[in-house]
Amino acid sequence: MPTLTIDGRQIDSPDGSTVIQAAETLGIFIPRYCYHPGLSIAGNCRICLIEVEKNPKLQIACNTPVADGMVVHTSSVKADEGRRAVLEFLLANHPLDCPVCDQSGECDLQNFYMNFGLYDPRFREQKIKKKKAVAVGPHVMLDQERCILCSRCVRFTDEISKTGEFGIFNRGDRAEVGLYPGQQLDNPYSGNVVDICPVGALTDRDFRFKARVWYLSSAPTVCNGCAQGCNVDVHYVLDRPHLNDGARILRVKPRYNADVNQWWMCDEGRYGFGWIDKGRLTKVRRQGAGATWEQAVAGITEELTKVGERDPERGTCLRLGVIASPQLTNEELFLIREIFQRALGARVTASVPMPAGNSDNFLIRADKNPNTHGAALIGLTDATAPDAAAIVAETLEGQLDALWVFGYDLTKLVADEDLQRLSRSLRLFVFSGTNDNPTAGCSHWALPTAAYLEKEGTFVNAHGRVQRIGRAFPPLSDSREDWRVLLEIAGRLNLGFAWRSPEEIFQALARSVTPFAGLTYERIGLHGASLMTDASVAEVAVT
Amino acid sequence: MSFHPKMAYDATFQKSARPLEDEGPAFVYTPANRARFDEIVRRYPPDRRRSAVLPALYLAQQQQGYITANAIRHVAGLVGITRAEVEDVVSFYTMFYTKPVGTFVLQVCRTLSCALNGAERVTEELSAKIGIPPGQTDPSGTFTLLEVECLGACDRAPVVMVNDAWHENVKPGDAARLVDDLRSRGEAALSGCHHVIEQKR
Ligand code: SF4
Ligand code: SF4
Ligand code: FES
Ligand code: FES
Repeated sequence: MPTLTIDGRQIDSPDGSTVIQAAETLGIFIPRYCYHPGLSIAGNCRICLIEVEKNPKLQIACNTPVADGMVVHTSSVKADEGRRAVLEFLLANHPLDCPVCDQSGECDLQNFYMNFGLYDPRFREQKIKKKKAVAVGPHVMLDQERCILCSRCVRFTDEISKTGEFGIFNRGDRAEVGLYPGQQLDNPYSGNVVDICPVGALTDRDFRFKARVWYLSSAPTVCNGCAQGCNVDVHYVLDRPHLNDGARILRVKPRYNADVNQWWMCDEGRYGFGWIDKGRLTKVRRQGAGATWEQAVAGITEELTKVGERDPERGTCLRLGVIASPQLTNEELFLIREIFQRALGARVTASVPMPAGNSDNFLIRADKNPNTHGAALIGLTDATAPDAAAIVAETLEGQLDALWVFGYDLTKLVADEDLQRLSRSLRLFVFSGTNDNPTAGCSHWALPTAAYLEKEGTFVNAHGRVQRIGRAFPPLSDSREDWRVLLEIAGRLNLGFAWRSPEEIFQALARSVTPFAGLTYERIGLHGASLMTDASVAEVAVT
Repeated sequence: MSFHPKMAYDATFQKSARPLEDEGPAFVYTPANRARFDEIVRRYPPDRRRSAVLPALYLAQQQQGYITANAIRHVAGLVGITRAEVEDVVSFYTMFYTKPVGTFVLQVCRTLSCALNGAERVTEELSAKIGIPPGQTDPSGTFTLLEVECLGACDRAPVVMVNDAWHENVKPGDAARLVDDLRSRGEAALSGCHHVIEQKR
């Protein structure tokens, strides 16, 4: 392993690694435009210039392999001079749209100019005009004048999405990024080119002009769009409701995780957050009329205490069915198991029919639920246990007297009239969920619950990796986290649970469900933790 | 309400703004050219097959005189790269033509050495003699006049490249005669010193 010196510090760096990588392990950041760790090396932007001793000319850090005894200076006067010259060229034809450019504030052209810029420009000539605001696809807008021709987007469509839409056409100062005529940038991963474009040449049509980026807050979480569980950052605004029609979430960006999604995410996950701010259930409703949480919890537990008692008229026991959801967190599914299955002897399932979606062998999984594996581990999707259709059928046959549905819309299983009939025949019909739907409309109690960004918890992805979802902001309006509602009901039922938070519930879960043994929130951390071997994943694999 | 209008998301809004000028007639290599292409591709290691795009495009240009969108499609399919990648190459190099050109393509170098030796005057004279501005083909289809960057023969500036042959030391005042020569004697009119080196005459 070659040993080299970077800015006076020694480091061993593996054979074949480059100076930019070695510097990064030392925590030294070398500016870059064309270099991206997830793409092949192009070495065309020249901003990463460094001084290597005994070498008369500046070298590019991104494509200079490390060598034994190499002495590198990343911020010598000479290197800075070199970068200043590179920036002068890059800006020669740059429109300087910053005041109206979406990238402003997170633009590497701005950032590096602050460090190395000339500040007193010498360019007096006319700039070359190119096309602006070209919608290259359903999600991405291209501004050819702002492009610095780093070719990251071209390499992305060649190497990662493998769709090859982008090219760099013409040469010299007329060179421009574009699509082959008649094509569109319409692949399942197109949004990623916006993230990797170091300047404002590729911007997000969905986010465009909605907010300046410095107003955004960011929270780490996990995408709930499918069983892959890509790590993401959610960017939101709480104190400027005029920016986005009051919607809190403005955009979602992938968060690096070497084991799950690397730097990428799919468009479906990236743009599928609308439901968190629109069409939400906001108030507790009883038979369609407003009610309070206190009334709901009291009323529901009163009925639940009767479960298992003998119905004097019919001579049979009162029975409860629960349709849980693989959209819920492990903590909530565990509570559902403890309360409904173990304490009340209810028929419980988390197998809800969902048409398999599109999938590929990169990120997108056909299973569009984020926590199918968690539900399986906790034992709520047993092949021997009933599924949602069976529970609904039993209810319609009059075998069940009470039903609690978590989030699922029963009209996907039965006709509207059947749903009405079911609602009339039940003694207790609770719907708890984030968004309004016909099932909520027919239920006796409709409880507004928190979306996944509004609560703490964990999901298990398709590869058996436990990942934490963080709470970005508090639940909307009157809605409450499912775990909080369930804990309150458990308290009323005197089940003697001592847990007060998702973290404490998780500790109990880790003690009770073997594959989770030894895990804590701290160990799961920001990047998740693997819980099972591949063999055990296969064992609980859900079809 | 948001201050900002919603973007239209209709399909018409998403078309590329740079249509190729000519779809052209249907294009496939002639059997002979196809055989030459196969022979060329064999010279490249399989993982460098994409590098064959340059000779493949030359073949297409030889066959049809210029490169059309259909030719790009054909070449992309054969080489195994995207059409965008082929257009990258076509639009980068000045020796690929995307419009029909004349029998003689006159490329006047306009880079430093030639410029200092009067290349601009040469262009003006040629332009006046043929009766077309640079970048165009005369109505008879005999001459196309182009301005290009350094042709690599700076010591014999100014240089005019006629088809594949240099024509050196074309002093201002001489240029018109070159056109007459080409008209009367065709290729034989070329006098570049590479003819001597390569014993073409
Ligand atoms: S790309 Fe960067 S430097 Fe260029 S206009 Fe946008 S913010 Fe300004
Ligand atoms: S559009 Fe952006 S990513 Fe693509 S080449 Fe230009 S600057 Fe680079
Ligand atoms: S980052 Fe090294 S040349 Fe672009
Ligand atoms: S400058 Fe004209 S051939 Fe080099």
